[in-house]
Amino acid sequence: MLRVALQGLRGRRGPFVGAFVALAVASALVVACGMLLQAGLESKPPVERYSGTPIIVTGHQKPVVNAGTDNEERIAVYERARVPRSLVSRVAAVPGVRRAIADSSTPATLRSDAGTVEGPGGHPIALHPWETAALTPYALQAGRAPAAPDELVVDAGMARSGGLRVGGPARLTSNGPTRTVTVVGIARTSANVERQGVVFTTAATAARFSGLPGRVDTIGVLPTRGADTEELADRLRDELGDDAEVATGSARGDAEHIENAEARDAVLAIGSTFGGIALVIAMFVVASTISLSILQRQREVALLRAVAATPKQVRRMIRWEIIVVALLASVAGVIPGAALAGWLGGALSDRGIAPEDMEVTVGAVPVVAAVGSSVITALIAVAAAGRRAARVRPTLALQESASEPRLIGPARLIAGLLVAAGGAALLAVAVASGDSTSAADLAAGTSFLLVIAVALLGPLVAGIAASLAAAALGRSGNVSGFLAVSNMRTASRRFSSALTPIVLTVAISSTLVFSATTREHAGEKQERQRVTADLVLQSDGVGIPRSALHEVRQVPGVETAVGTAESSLGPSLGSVYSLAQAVVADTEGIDDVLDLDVTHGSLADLDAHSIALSKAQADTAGAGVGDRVEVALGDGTRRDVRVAAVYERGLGFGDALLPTALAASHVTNPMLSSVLIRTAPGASPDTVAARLDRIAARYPDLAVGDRHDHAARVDASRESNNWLFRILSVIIFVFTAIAVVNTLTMIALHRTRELALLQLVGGTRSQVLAMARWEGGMVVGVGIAIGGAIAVTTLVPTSSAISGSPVPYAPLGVVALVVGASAAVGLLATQFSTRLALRPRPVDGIGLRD
Amino acid sequence: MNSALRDTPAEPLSPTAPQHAVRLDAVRKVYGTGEGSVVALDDLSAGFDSGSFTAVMGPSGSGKSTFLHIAAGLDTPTDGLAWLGGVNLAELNQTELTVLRRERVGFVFQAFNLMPSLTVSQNISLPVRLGKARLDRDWMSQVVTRTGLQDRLGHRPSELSGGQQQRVAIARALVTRPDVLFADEPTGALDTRTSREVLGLLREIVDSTGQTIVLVTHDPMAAAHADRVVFLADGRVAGSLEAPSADAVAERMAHLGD
Repeated sequence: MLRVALQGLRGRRGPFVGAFVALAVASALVVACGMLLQAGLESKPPVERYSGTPIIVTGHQKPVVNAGTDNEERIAVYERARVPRSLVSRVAAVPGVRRAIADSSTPATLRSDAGTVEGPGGHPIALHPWETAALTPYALQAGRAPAAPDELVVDAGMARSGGLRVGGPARLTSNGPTRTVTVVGIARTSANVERQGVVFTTAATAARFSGLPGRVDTIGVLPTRGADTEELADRLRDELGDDAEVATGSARGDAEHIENAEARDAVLAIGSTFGGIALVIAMFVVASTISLSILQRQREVALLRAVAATPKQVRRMIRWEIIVVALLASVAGVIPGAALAGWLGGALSDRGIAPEDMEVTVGAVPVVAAVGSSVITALIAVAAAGRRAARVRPTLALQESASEPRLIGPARLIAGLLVAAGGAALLAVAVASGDSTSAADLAAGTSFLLVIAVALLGPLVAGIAASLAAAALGRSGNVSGFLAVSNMRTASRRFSSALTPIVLTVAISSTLVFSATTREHAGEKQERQRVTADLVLQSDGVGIPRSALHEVRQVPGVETAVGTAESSLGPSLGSVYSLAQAVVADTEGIDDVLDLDVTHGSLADLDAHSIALSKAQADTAGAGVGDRVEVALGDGTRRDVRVAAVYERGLGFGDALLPTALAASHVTNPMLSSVLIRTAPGASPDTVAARLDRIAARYPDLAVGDRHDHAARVDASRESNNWLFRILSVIIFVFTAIAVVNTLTMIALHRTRELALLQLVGGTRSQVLAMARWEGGMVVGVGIAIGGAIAVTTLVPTSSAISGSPVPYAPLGVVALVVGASAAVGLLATQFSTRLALRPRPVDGIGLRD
Repeated sequence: MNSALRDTPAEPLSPTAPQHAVRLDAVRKVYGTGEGSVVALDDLSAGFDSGSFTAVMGPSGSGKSTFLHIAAGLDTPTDGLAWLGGVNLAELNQTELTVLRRERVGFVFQAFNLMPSLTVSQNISLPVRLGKARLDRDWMSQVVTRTGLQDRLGHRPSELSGGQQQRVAIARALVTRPDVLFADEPTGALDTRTSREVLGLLREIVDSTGQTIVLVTHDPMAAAHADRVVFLADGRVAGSLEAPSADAVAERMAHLGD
C-alpha cells in the first residue's frame, strides 16, 4: 500500500500541493513556538562578576510553594531576597572558607565632563563595596582602592568610554542627592562582564547607599586552596540550614542576574499562550484543508472503487498518502519555523521582554512536536473525511455531473451544534469569572470554538447565505453575477470550504486585536482616573531617592507627598504561577493623590500590617475586607496581613497595594518610581512646581510634571507589550491568510474543467474573471459578516469583564484594517487562482480530469 | 486514394463565397517542437456547404478532433487559413473569437457539456446571456420542443440521463441559431436507442431549419445519418462519400490508408 501511495504521489503532485502547504506552514508555526518555549526554559544568565567565586550564598530567590504536598515546587520571585549581614561571620567560620565577602548592588548614574557614563553596551551601572572586587576578580590597573565616602573605583572599560581618569571628578547620583566624587582607581578584570557597569565604593558607603545596612544581597565565598567546592557547599548548607541558599555552578548566574526570572516567565507565558493558540489554529487549518483535498478527489476515489478496491483499501491508501505528505511537509516547515523563532526571540530580547542571553536553538523536542502534531491531526482528518469518501459509489466515476452530497449529514450537524454550545458555555464561564485577564484569554478560545462550529455547520450556513444573496441580486441582468450566485447555491460544500478560512481569519484576528485594544483603552482610562495628584515627580534615571521625598515634603505648598515604587508579589493569594504586580506606597495621605475606586474598606485604614487588593486579586484569593491572609512580598518573605480595602482600578497599576512600612525593605531598588503630590489649597501648582524644580538641581534626573505627564510615561512604558501583541496578531493573521489563499487556490484549480466549458460555451476570459470576482466578493462578504459576528459575540462579554462596558474599544481605523486586509487577501486570492485555472487552453481544460 | 472531391476547387474560391459555412484551406497543425513534435493536420483543405449535414470520420490519430477545434475557432492552425461564416479566423483575437463562437457556432461535446449548477433552462439560454443579447423566446421554446425537453426545464444536469443531457447540449448549441453546429462524438457515451434518437434529432433539425451540422464520429451508423461523409487519415482528407449507408461507410473505413 505504501508503494502504491508513493507512486500515486509522484505521479500526481497537484492535488497534494494544497495539503502540503497547509501542513508546512502549520508545522513552521508550531516549531517556532516550541523553540521559543524551549529557549525560555533553557535560558541561563551568565556568571559575570562572580566568575572567580565558586560558591555564592543567597536568600531564598526560589522559595518553595505548596510545601509538603504533592505539588511542592520552587517558584522564582522577582525581587532580591536579601540575607542578614550577620550571616557573613557564620559563613566565614565554616572550615574551608578563606574569605566571606558581602555584596550589595545599588543602581546609580555617573556623569563625567564628557556626559553620562554608561556601562558596557549601554547597560545600567551599580555600586558595590570594594571588597567584592576579589569575587570576579577585579585588579587595580591604576590608582588605589577607595578609602573615603566620596571615592570611587571604576571598571576600565567604563573609564575609557566615559572619559574618566584617576584623580578626575565625576558626579554620582544614587540613593541620595547628587554628589561630586573622585575617581581614585581604575580596575580591570579578565572575566567577561558585559551586562553591568561596575563601580566600587567603600563598604560603608555601599551599605549606606543600599538603604538597608543590616542586609546584604549575597555573600561570596572564596575557598581555601585545595578545598573541594561541592563538599564546602554542603558544609555551608548544613551550617546555614533554612537561613539561606547556597549556589554553585550555573546557579550563580541566577543569583547574579535576578532580573532574568521575570523575563524568563514572560517568555514562557508568551510562548505557551501564543503557542496554544497557534497549535489549535494550525490543527484546524490542517484538518479542514485535508478534508477539502479528499473531497476534491471524489471522482478519483470512485474510479478506484470502480476498479474494485474495497473501502478499507481506499482508506488505507489515502491514509498512507497523507502520512507521506504530512511527514515531508512538516519537515519542510522546520527551517522557516526556526527562522521565525530566531527572529522573534531576538526581537523580544532586544526589547527587554525576554532574557538577554536567551538563545534560540533548534531542538529535537519542538521539531518532533510539530511533526507529531501535524501527522496526528492529518490522520484524524483523514479518518473523518476518508471514511465518507471511501464509501462513495463507484458509478460516480462514470457520471458526468458530480452532484454534491446531501447538504449536511446528521453527525456533522450534531457535532456543530455541540461545539457551538461548548463555545457559549466557555463564554459564560469567562464572564462569570469577572477576572479581566482570564476573560481576555478565554475570549480567543471561545471565538475559536465558534469558528469550528461554523465550519462544521458550514454547508448549511453557506446555503442560507447563498439564498439571501440570490434574493438580493434578484433579476439582475449581470450574467457573471448570475453564474456566481448559481454556483454558490448548488455547490454549498465548496462555498463552505472557501468560507471557513476567511471566517477563521476575521474572527480570530478581530478577537485578538480588539480584546487587546479594549484592554489597552481601559487601562489608559483607568490611569487617567487613578492619579488625582496635582504634581508628579518622576525619574529619568534610576529612581527617586527617599531623601528627595523628604525634601519635597518640606517645600511650602506641598500638602501631601506620596512615594510609590513598582514591585511584585511573591507566589501567594491564589497567583502562584503568574506573579501579581504590586505597588509599594506611603500610606499617609494616599487618598489625596490616588483614586483607586475603592469599593470596600478604605485606603485610610492601611497600616504596616495590612494591604489593599484589586477586585480581581481579591476574587482569586477568595478574600474580602477584614480577612487575614498570608501574602508573599516581592522577595518571597511571607507576612500575615489584613485586607484593608478592595479597589476596582487595578488595570495597569497593580493587583495589590503594599504600605511602605510593610514592603519597602523587600524591594531590589531602594529608590522610588514616582512621587505624587497634592498641593495645599490656595497654593498655585505652578509656584510649587517652580520650587520643586530647585530641588531638581540636586537630583538631576528628576522630572517635575503633572498627572498628564505621568499618564504619558505610563503609556510609553506599555509600548513594548503593545508591540509584542501586535506582532503576535500579525503572525496569526498571516498564518490564517495563507490558509485562505491556499484553500481558495485549491478550489479554483479544481474547477478548471468548469471554467473551460464556460469559455467554450462563449464566455470570454473577462466574463469568467468577473464571475470569479463575484464569487470572491460573496465569499469574502459572507465570511467577514460571520467572522465579525463571532468576534462581536465574544468581545461583548469580554469587554464587560475587562472594562465594565459591553462595548469593546474598536477604533474604526483598526477595524478597517482588519476587515480590509481580510477582504484584500480573499479577493486577490480568488483572482489570482482563477487566472491560474484559466491558464490551460479551454480545449485542453475540458478534457482535464479532476 | 483521392477521388474527385466536389469541395476541393481547382482554383481557390473567393473566401466570401456564401455557400460555405466552414472552410479550411491548406491547414497544417503541429503540436510541440523539434524531436517530440506531432503533426496532427497536414495540408488539409475542406469546405462545408450551408445547410449540409456532414460527418467527419477517421481512425484515432487521424486528426478529426483537431480539425473540429480549428474549424470552430477553438484552436489556431500552424499554417493555412480557416474561415467561419465567411470570416477569416486568423484575423480575430481571443475575445473576438469568443464572441464569434458565441454567436455563430454551436458546440456539443461527447461529455461534460453542461454547467452543473444551472438548470436545463438556464443551461440552454447561457450563450445568449453571456452575449447579453435578448433571448428569442419563440425560438427557444421551439428548440425546447424539438429536443423534447419541455418537462425538464427546471431540473439540474445531475438529475438527467445521459441522453437527456446531450439533448440539452444540442438545444444550447441551437439557441443562438449558429452558422454551424459542431458535434464531437455526441453519441459516444449513449446506448444505441438513445444514440438513434439524438442523431435523428440532428437530422430533423437540418431538414426543417437548414442548420449546418458537422459531426465528428467514428461510428458508421452515426455517419449514415449525414448527407456526406469526409474521411480523414494522417491529418489529410482521404476521400468522401455521398449519401452514405452504414455499410458503405464501414467498408471505406476498413480500407482507409491502403
